[in-house]
Amino acid sequence: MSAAPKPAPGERLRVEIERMIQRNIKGLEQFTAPLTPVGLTPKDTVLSRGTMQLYHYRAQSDEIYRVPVLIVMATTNRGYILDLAPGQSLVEFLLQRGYDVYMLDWAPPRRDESRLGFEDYVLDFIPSAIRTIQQRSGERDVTVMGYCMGGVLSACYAALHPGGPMQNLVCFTTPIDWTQMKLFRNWADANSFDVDRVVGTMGNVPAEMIVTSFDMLRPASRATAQIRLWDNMWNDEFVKGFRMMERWGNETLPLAGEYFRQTMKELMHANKLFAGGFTIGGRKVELSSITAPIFHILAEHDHIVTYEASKPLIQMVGSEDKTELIVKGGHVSVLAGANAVKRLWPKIDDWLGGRST
Amino acid sequence: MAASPWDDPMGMWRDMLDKFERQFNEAGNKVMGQEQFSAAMNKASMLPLAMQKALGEAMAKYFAALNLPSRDDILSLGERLNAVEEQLRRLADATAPAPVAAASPPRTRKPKPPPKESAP
Repeated sequence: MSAAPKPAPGERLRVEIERMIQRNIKGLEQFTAPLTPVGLTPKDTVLSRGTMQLYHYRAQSDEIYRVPVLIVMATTNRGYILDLAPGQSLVEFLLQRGYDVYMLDWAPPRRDESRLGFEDYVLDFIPSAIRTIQQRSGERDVTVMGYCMGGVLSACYAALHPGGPMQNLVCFTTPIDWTQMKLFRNWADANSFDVDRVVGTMGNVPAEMIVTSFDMLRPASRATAQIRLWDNMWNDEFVKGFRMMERWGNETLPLAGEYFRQTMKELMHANKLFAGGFTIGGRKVELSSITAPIFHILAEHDHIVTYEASKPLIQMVGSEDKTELIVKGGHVSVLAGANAVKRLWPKIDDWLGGRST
Repeated sequence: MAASPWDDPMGMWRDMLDKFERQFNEAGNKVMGQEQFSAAMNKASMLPLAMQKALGEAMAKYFAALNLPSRDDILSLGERLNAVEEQLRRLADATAPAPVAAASPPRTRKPKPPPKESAP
């Protein structure tokens, strides 16, 4: 196959001048543009308690699978990353493929919720959400799908409830071996990072601190992203996508203080989820106790939860029916990028459909 | 004839931007991966926290002397109100009839069989 002929220098110059004019016009529009709407798939909030929000998305299919799906969102970010816009929404995709979809999303924790810990998330919020789903659907079984720290919470829940009602567990980029998140581990070094002082002074950990730590993993990328935005200002689709992702990043959530303290001490410093000895409410979390069918999706170029950090999950669970899928992409693009739409989401459907009847 | 990079200066600039970003991130990660970096960073970030704590305690004493509530007192009142609201909400939930979902489609869906392979 021959490559497309390159445009002549004169034509290229004409295109660049046209884009330069468009950049100036559209760049000015950006200053006054309202927030890009996100999370548009119709839904009902069926449970709301402080930071915990449970949404039920309205069916988009004449016939649905027996087993409902509960998505447990990462505690650091808003769930609309999985429902950005029509055609770019995992939620919409699942609804159109016949799933009954719920999402456990998080609002910024209030000051009086700074005492929330893993006990609340794993032994109260997830079970409460599942009870509500059981009541609404009339079904006992539920598929749980967790993203990032949502995956950690889901895996902990699965380990502590091996008798069900979790029918299937789907995890995305779930950190297990925290020694493999080397930069985070260095910054949170127990010798210099006084987590007790941070939580004691601030209560909840502010979102700015979370955003800064993510940004520090790629120190040049925030600046270069702005340059690329300018370069592509003529391209409405690029700008729309950029602004949705920028909004999502800017709406990063604060973390409940006690939950952050436990994450730092138990997982980051002592690596107990991997090495053993992690307890929630006095009960030992053994990943080998997970027996439900499990599908773990890892991102090859994930700079937040490295591939090495999430890889042990499949090796450690006790499930006989277990599948691991390594996908090209980063921590977010693995689930919400163009490749995810074309390649990953159909694979999730292929895996889950037969296990949802 | 081999293409000259000067045929597409914007493309060349974009490549340079990618390269700059990659190299800067790598160099930054090397520096930030050192123990000395985290020690210095944490020392710098702990200082304002210590000051915030000391200032908060001093202000609380000052307000107490003036017989005025401190910020913590007001926030504590807010927490108590939230707790009362939460209890009321739970009582309301407990006395309300169980939520009934809107008419949902039948739960009879089965996955489509894989397409049959055609005979060679």
